Amino acid sequence: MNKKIIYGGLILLAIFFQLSFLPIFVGSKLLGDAVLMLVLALAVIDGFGLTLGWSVVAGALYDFASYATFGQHVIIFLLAVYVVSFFSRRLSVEVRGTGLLMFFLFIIIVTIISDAMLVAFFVFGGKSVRLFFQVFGNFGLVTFQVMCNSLLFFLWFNIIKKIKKKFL
Amino acid sequence: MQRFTSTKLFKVCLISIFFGWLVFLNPVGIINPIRNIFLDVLAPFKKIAYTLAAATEGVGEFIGSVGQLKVENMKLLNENQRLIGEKAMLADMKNENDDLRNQLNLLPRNQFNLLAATIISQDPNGMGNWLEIDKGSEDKISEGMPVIVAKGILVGRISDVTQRNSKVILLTNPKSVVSIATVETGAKGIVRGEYGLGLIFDMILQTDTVASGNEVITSGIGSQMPRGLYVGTVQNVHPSDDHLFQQAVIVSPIQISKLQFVFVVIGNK
Repeated sequence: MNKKIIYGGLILLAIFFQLSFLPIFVGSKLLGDAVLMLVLALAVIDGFGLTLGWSVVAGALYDFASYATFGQHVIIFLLAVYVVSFFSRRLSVEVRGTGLLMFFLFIIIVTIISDAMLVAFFVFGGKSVRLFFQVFGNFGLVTFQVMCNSLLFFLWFNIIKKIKKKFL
Repeated sequence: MQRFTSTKLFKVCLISIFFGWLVFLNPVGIINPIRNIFLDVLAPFKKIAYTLAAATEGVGEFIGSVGQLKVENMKLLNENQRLIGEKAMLADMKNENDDLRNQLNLLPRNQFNLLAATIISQDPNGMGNWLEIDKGSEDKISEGMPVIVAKGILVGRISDVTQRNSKVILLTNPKSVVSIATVETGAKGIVRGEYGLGLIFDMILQTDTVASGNEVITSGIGSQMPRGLYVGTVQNVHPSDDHLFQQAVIVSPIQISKLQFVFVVIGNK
């Protein structure tokens, strides 16, 4: 019960942060994705089985709050959780230092998957892929997005770790 | 050997197919009532977050920036917006005195009924396509109403309305199409969004004259958009792909990420 309230609260907090705080605070054209990074942090900490349900909840709430077509962020978050599970099993995180590299790998892959899925939904919605790539196809901007996502990931990662230590 | 139906991949595929089907069908009739309730519940928290961001915005910018120059830049930006708006208004007022324009019933700005609204969230993809305000149907807001900032600079129009909130489709949104005209030459066309990249002044007749630096206002043709709201300045003009019309890039003086308040034109006085 405690966990449900805390995780639910964290998801809502991430949504407020993404929609109402970051756009005006950073004021940049491309921002990190706070909700995606929260789901990624949960997947890294709790694993596939415990995060699958939360990724669906987070995606659904994010779609509601961001006026997006219902379901699109659910799919993106599901893929993010699966990516973590897929690579965690195949690559070692035991060797000192490689854990951090793994996290960066997750962030890069998940950021690219998220952008690719958004392109897919964009094209599916009858919009031009050319214009989308004018916005997202810039390597510098994608790098900036990965950097923002890295910051957000480690922020969430530490918050969840501390919460789990104290309350769960 | 593990059965495929109990694998992680199977679970992810199954759920993805279900939600993919929902994306495909997009059952807004079922989704929107739930969404509206959710948005109404979230609105106060979004407002707090947005206000907090506005209050700490300086801190965020200070970290990677230029301290004093930022304040100066903001002042100049505001001044620039004010002057551009005033300049357009004066040029427009001059034209209002013109007989031909009088026949078109150009609306004076003091005839608008404006409702101030606070922005509570923005497009999370950073493409500047929409923003959300804290006024809804209970404040007599309805779809299609124009949204402006001080001095009559057009931001966009209302698209979705819940009881306490509304979504504003910005001019940069590809779904946004507004009839416009240049102040100087009266050349008419439409402005449409380019996915947060800018504004395109389209469908300008080859016989019309449009030049860089021309100021563009709404023409008041069609929809609920009144005449005379400032849209931006023409940056460059080029022929359309099919060479049937002219096109121009318009630069808007508004920085959406800096906005905190907007005004909804709810009618004429």
